[in-house]
Amino acid sequence: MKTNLKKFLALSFMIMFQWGLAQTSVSGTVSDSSGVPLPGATVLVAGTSNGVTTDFDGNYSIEASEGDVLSVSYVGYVTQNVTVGASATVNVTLAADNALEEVVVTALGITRDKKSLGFAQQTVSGETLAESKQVDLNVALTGKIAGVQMIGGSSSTFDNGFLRLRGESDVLYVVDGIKVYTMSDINTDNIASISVLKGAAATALYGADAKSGVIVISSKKAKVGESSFTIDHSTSVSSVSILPNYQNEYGGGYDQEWDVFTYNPATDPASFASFTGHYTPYYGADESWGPKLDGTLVRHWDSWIPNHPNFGEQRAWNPNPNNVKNFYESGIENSTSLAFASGTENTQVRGSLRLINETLPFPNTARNQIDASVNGSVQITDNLSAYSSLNYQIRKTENFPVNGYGGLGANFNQWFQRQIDMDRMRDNYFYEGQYYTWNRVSARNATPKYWDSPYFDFYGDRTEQRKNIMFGNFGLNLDINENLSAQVEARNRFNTYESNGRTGWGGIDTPSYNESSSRYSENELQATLAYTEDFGDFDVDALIGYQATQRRNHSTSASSAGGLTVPEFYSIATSKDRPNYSTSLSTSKQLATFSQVSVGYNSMAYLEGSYRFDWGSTANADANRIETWGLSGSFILDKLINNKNVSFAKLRAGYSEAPVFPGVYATSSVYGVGTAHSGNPIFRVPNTQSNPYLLGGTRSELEFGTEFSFFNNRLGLDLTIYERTDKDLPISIPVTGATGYSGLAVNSGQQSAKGVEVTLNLVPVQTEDLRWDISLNYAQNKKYVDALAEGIERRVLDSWMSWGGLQTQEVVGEEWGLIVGRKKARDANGTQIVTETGRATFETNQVLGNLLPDFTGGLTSALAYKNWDFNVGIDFQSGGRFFSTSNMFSYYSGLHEDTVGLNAKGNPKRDSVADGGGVNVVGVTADGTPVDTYQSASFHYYQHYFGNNHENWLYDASYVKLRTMRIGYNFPTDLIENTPFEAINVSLIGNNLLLLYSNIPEGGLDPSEIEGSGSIASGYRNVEGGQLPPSRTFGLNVSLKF
Amino acid sequence: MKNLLTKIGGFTICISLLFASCETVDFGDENVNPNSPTNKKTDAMITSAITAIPGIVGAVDPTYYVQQISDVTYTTGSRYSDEQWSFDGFYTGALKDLQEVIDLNTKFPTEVTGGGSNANQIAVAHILMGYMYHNITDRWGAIPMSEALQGVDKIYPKFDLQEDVYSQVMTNLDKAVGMIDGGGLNGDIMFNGDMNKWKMFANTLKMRMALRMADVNPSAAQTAFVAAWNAGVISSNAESVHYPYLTEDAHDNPWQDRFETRYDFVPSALLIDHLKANSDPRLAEFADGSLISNGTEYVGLEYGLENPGILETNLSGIDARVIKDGTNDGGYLMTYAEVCFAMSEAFLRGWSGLPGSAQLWYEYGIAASHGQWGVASADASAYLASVAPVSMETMAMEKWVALYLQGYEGWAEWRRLDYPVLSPPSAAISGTGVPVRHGYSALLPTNNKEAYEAAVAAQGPDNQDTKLWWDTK
Repeated sequence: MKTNLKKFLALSFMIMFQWGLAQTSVSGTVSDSSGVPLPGATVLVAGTSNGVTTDFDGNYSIEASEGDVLSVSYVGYVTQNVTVGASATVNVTLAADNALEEVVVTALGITRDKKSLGFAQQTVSGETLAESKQVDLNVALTGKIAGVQMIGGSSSTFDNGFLRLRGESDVLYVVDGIKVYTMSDINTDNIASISVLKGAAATALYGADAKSGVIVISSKKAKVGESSFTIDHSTSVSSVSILPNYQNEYGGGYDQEWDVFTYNPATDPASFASFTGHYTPYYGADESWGPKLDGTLVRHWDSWIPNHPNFGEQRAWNPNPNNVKNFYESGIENSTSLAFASGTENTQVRGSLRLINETLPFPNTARNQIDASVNGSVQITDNLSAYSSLNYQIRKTENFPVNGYGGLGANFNQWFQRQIDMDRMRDNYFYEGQYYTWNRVSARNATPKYWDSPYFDFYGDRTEQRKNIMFGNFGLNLDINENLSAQVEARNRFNTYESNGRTGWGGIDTPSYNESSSRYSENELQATLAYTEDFGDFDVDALIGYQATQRRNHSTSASSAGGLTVPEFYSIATSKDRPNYSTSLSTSKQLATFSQVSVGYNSMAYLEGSYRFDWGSTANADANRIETWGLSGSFILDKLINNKNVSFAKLRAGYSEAPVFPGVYATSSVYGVGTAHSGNPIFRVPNTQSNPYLLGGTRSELEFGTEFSFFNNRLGLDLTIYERTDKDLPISIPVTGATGYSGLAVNSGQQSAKGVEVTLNLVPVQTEDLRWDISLNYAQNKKYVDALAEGIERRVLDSWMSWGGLQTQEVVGEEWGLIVGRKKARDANGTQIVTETGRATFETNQVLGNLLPDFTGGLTSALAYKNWDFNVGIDFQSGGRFFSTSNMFSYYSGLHEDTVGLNAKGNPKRDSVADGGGVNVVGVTADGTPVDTYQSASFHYYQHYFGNNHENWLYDASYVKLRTMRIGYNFPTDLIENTPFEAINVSLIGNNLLLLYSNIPEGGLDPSEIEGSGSIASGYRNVEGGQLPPSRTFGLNVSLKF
Repeated sequence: MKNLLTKIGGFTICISLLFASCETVDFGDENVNPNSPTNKKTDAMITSAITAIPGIVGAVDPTYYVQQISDVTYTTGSRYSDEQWSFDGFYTGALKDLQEVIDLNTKFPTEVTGGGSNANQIAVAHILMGYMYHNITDRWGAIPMSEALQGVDKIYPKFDLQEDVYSQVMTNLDKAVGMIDGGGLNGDIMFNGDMNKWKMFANTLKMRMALRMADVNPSAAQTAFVAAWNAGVISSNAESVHYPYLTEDAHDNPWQDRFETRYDFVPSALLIDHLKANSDPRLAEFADGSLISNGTEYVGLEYGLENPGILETNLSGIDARVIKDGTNDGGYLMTYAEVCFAMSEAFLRGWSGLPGSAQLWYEYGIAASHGQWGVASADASAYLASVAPVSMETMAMEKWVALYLQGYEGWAEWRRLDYPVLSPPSAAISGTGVPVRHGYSALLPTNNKEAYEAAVAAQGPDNQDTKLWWDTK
């Protein structure tokens, strides 16, 4: 029995107005064969649109006349038709259908019986997703699907994460058959269910785009007999949760001596006359090796602002341990959704509107978003039906916080003065029309040295983006006869982005302005013919189809050069030098025909094959066809096993081959164009030598799986093992620059991946009032490099991972993503080898680890007790690595708490070595002579960085995170009986709550939030350049259904 | 069953007919890249290659090695933090563009006449390649040349020894000068199509290279040197070659960019003190007085300190004409002063076949350098009267001063002449002395293993202390 409160909410009906004959109120209880009531079962008066659902206790009440037939149905049970007799009470007992008659959505939106699938597939229901009220789909899926690893951006920014499915990140998102451009186009409130098709076999019908897996999303649609209106509102507050461990003993500067101001009557204004003898900090230093914070009276940065009340004031040189924390605000998000759904047997319509207003924990950052959608279907004649859907989103963002090096995270955690009072910074950064910074060149010169005030980054500099997207479809279904049906569908999506950004007047950088506009669109037409027939014990389903796709991406951008000519005015027209302008256009077309045949024997054995041809414009015109095919089978064992404890047992296997097209214009060879010099144009030979014979590579995948369910579905186990090979990948092989090129485009390269995915579902407690579901996902994926190109054993994927050229490499015969860099040299006993003065020595080209994790997974727990629900989501990762620039520079700059304290002699580390301070370095020289010396703290910690000490700052990316928690309450039906509401739910939600475990000794970082863009970031998310602090969110959600 | 098989069979036949129909589909122009051109515009490639020169003449690091420039705050550069450097940018950029000019002029001579005459384009390409190869080999030593720039045809180009690079370049320069004809040259932002200037440039380069190998192969050096002199080299300050910087951001002097929002480099105490001690009037032209003294006092920053801790307002800055403007200063490729000192040295070595004398050319060189920097002739003459007579040491010291802000040239000459006597900073991060070479890029042992190992075996350990072929002491 499935007691499912959420189903009850979703399927609640209102009694419809009806005309006609005298009706009585027929009521009763629907229960299963063991007498347990079934809430949320549908009771429909056959032939009408009159329907209700049973309440929590399985009771229903409906207007019906004697002789009407009541059709009672419930998922997993055989539908019963009962004629209304003289009695006004009709109780119905439903018999359980064959276990797991679960219907799932597969490729091209085709629904299939899960048991007939020969390949790995996992479903997440829309309600489970909606529990965490996450706007970001990727975050909402985290931990729920085996093999899916969520790579996150900072939770306090607008950064989207992305998903890696079986180690690959080019996962396709499909909503109602439309391939969506980006995951953020999807309105999570409209999702009815998500079906994750994991391997190539599951996607042989989508062709090359889907070789890494497809996330098939079905939107909510109105059901027959439904008429509802829901309002959903949630408000949540986010605040910064993890900050590094700062030291608060020494302030800004490069050494501990004070500069003393001396009035110079020849050059200083008269107001400076009384300043002789004042202590001045080294304002221009962006490090904290300065004097001790002992309360000495000094001239802080804001005491030099002319005409300011603080002018000339001396204040104590004291710690401000919470200064960074005080900078951050509380971010607030308000999200309101309205949806209506109405369905009769002939017409179903659903519409929704969602409004989101969000601010981040940073000043002057805001996002407003409106998502609107409408979908509907109409039965035109008995055989012909039409359907259509339209989704629209408009989103405006003001100020994207800069994540990574050069942004706020880098400022506070790497280059800062620890004594800065943030309240004074907020009050004084802009005074009488001028911007002032803590990092001024000197007492007399207010020009910023390296850093503007952090407030300038949000008020002086600005970025703005406007996003408009639309995607939709229109289709016709024709039932030709009882076996044959045809479908034609047209789909379109387009995304446009307009952005502009400015570097403000009055800051350290030359003012500038840039604008860009891009548009990405795709049109697709698909026609399919489906055939289904039973031949005795055999069921045959066949499908043949045709698809034509057209894509167009166009972007232009312009930026000012050399500065702007009009103060406080930002436009391209006022650029000082000739502005930079660039534009890029790419178009491609694709045609495909595909077919799929599945044969089932006796509902016990299934065999399925699919074949697809694609012709693409990006391939060489003489050979532009690729073939994708797949074969899979499944075998249902439980009837053979015939053990009452085994409710379901299935074995499955599948194999598929899916080639890839080369990228747009990859086969053509062109010159790059540079900025002209005094009217002379500049052409450059590009750095990658093109290859006109470039082919697509091929992915082949073999998969085996089992699915078991025990004890009447109280325990479920899904196990999948897969092996995947990528051959002839078109890659740019890096070659030594002396060839004239840095890369050659070739078809070589072979990679393979092996993995295991396990899903365990447990229902430890199931009683009338209480049900507890636990689901555990675990996945392991190991990817290997089998071959690169002839004679090439090694390929550097990314070498700008840090200072000093840490590299991510592909090495033949090794796991993909080796990290190679410098490691401190040690002797056979593990003692560090140093120079005589204690300087570290290093070994270069050492393998330091691997980028990809050892295993990933998640745990979800859903507890339902009467009207309450309590859900928890945890996800985890073990292994993997990332480089931390923040920690590296926080040591270099003396910001970290480890750079203060006592040394081995018991004296403060930061005292001079002559005074017994310094950091003890113990080691041996290369020839074995022991070394035991003290280095000045600033030199030692500079060394930590200068050594290009990659090993030290390459951290284990393992973590366990409590990502969501929710407590919800459904108002009982008797309480709301007299209100217009059908259902009310109130819940408290927490997101990104706690990092339960991480393996970073110095702390202060969240390994699940490594940034993906920025000056030193890379697509592999393997380096953190200046992580913005993660934030946790608490919110309240109210859902009203009419 | 039969029914089933028939139906399936029929279905399959339909499908296979459909599939067998098309092997390829014609998409027309869909895959023609609309963003970038394919026209063989060789003049634009020559311009592109010339724009790589600021990276050579405006480089900061060699100014550290000759200890004329100090770091104000971030001192890792002057303390040799980087030992490994990559030459890939030259090969994938300018050198490949020039090779493309040569290839297109050879394979499609009639299609590329928009760039000038075929001979002139090929000649200038060789001259520019020679200039760049010379700079590259003087930094690293053995470098790929004969097997380079061939793309997929040679993915593991071998390294040519420096000796061979020198001889190939000098041969190419001679050939280039020989093939220059009366046709024009377009895209020439350096000399605007004046082929005589290109001949002068090539000959001066050859003279420079000849002098550089004077210690390892004196007879060949002398022959080449005299031949270059006779063919015609730079003969006045007006003929000194300076890169054509613009005020526009995309083509301005890198020195000016460095000082737009930061202040990281100042003249060293070694240089300033030397100029002060000799009452050298170039002091006021090389540097500006410190802000705190209102421009009246010249204070250099001691070179190589780990933590100088001195505000830049207390220090002299590099002259404003370089760091605030830079269009006509701080970007010399070759100067008349350099030619004069080279001639002086030829006499000091006892080479014959040249006019003048060591002392004469020495004085011409000093006067030329003063004139180049805008010193009034009266002051220049006063200084001239006070200098010691010519010797290898005095000539080398004067040349060291004259090559101010000509980083790579200054460094090469210091390595060769060994004056002034310099020692590395105590807080040096790499190496055991002042660098005499740049180490190869960290990518080479991966990308071109055998060739790299052969080069190291022939030349010496791959670090900054291994002397190059011509640097005998």
